Amino acid sequence: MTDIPVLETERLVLRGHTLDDFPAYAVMWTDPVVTRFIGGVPLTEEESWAKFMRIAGHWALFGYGFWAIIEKASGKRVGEAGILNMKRDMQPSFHGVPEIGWGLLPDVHGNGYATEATKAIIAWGEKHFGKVRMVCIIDPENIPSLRVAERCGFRQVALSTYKGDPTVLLERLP
Amino acid sequence: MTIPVVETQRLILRGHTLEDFPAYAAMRADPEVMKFIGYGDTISEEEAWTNFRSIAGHWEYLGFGTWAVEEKATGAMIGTLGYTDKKRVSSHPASGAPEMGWSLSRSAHGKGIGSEALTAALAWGRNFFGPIRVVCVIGDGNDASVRLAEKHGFKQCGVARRGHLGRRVFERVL
Repeated sequence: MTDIPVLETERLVLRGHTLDDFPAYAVMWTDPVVTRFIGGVPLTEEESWAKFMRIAGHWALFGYGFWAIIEKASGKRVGEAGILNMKRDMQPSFHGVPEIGWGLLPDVHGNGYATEATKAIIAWGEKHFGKVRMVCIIDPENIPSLRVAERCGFRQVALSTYKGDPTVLLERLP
Repeated sequence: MTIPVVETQRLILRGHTLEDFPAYAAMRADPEVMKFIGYGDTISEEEAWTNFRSIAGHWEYLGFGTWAVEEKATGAMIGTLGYTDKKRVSSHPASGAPEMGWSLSRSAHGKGIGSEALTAALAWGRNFFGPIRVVCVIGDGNDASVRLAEKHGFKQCGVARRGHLGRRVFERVL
C-alpha cells in the first residue's frame, strides 16, 4: 500500500483507510443526512465500494488524498476528509488546484471535528504543495460546511453549478 | 503496492501511470470502443478520471486489478484488461467472483491483441487466485468479446441488464 501519513489533532487521528474500514464507510454513504449535500442520493454498497476503491487509487496516483477521521475517545471512524484532484467539469475551472473536502457522520456533527480535521489537512497540504491556493465546493444550503470553510480561511469566490446543482466555489489563498 | 508486470510476445501488461490518462480518456471518449461498455455511451474526461482512480485503488487494496495493455512495438497504451471486484448485488449472476474485463482502443481491434492479453491474464490469475470461478459480463451485440470469452473457455451462466443494455454473464474456472 501507498504510505499514507498519519495526522494527529487534539481529538482526532487522521489515517489512511484500510479494507477493514469498508463496512463503516458503506454505512456512512447510505445515510441521507450525509449525502444530502454530497451527491444528493444515498449510495448502494456497489457504489460506495467504487468510491472506496478510488480513495486508495487517489493516494497511489497523486501522493495525497482522503484520510479516515478517527475519534480518539471512541476509536471509531467518524468521517473522512482530505485533498482531491477531481478534474471537475465546472466553471470557473480549478483543475490542478488542491481541493479540500470533508464529510462526517451525523452523530458527531456540531463538535467542530470537521474544522479540526480540515485545519490539520491544510497544514499538511501547505508542507506538501508549498504555499498554494486551495479550493473547496459546497452546496449553498450546507450552512455548517460553509462555516467550517470560513473558519479554515476559505472565502466564497463564485456561485456556480456542478452536475446541475447550485454550488459555491470557495478559495483559500496562501 | 507494486503492480505485477506480465509480458507476452507483443504486449506488456503493467500498472497504469498518470501518463496513460490521455490515452485512457481518449478510449473512453470513442463511441466505437464504448458501444457495449457501461451504458453504451462515451464518458466525459471527469468520469474517465474517476474510473482511472478506481483502477489504481483495486491494486492497492486487493492485490489484483486491471492492467494497462502496452504494445511493445510502439510503447503505446492500447487498452485495459484485468480483474475487478465490483461487489455486485448478490442477485446478479456475476456476483461473488473476480470479474474479468477488457477494452481495447479502436486501432488495436481485430489483431488478436485481446486474446494474447487474456491468455496471459488468465495464467496470472490461476497463479494468484488458484482454481476458482471467474466471470465476465458482456453487452448484447458485442460479438467480438463473446468470441474472445468463449475461445478462452468462458460459458454463459446468466443474463443481466444495465440501463437499456442487455448483458450476458459468462463464467469459467481458472
